[in-house]
Amino acid sequence: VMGDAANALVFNNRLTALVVDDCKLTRMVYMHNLVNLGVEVKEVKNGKQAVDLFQSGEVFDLVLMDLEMPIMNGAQATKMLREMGVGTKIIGVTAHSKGPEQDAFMEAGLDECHEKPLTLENLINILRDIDENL
Amino acid sequence: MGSKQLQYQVASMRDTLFKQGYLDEQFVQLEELQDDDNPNFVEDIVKSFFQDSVRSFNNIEKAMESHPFDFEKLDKYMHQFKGSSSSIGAAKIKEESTMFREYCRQGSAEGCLRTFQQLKKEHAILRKKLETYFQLARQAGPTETACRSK
Repeated sequence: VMGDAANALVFNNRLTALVVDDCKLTRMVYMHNLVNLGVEVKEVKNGKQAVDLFQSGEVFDLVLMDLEMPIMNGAQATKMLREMGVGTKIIGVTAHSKGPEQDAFMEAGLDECHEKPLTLENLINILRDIDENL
Repeated sequence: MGSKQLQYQVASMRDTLFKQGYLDEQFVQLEELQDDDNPNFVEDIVKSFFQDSVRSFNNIEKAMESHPFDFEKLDKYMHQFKGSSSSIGAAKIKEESTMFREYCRQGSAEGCLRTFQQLKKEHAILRKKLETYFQLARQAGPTETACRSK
């Protein structure tokens, strides 16, 4: 059962999100969280698939981007998306704690970077922020 | 055993799993996602983790057959496994995974071997404990959302 704060914040499909992570379980948890919050969500397994989606014309309000992924990692994908002119909020989520890896990830063009796992509270704050600025 | 007693036993078992460091806050986050529409969400995720673990362990064991070790490959496999274990809140397993990765960075074959054995041991222990926990939870029936005792 989600807490009161979460129940009060259902986004009624006003927002869309893309989950980019090579870990199936991580994607399952994010997807479940986002669907419960009333966010329309898609998932992909690596950075290249994320870039391909945007190149095909898809748009999202939020991207949750893992760092270490095969084929194209999160930093490469983020850099590419920014070079394409994508202004979507991109939140990095990495197993690395604050330090050089997070800094390098931020420099690729993230809006924020969080250490895994991304808590429900942080996710709600991120979505609230996006919703208020729509 | 009466329902209330079973529920008490379930709660107690759950509490012990946290106190002994097998589970962390992420498990609570998973429980918060469970609802009437998805009454077995946590058990499903955990089952998925243990099924996927078999493949991860096979990959690592196969990689450890070649000498010298390809530490980059081993690190990559363990990174994936660590991500999964982190998703279910498997604290001790996550810790061992982190140590394994550190040994990969150091290029220590002995460290990797030793840590991997410990990791498999922790994995087997947690699997058994959670299987028992979910079995008991099913017998006890639905309760209000358990809160981690403070």
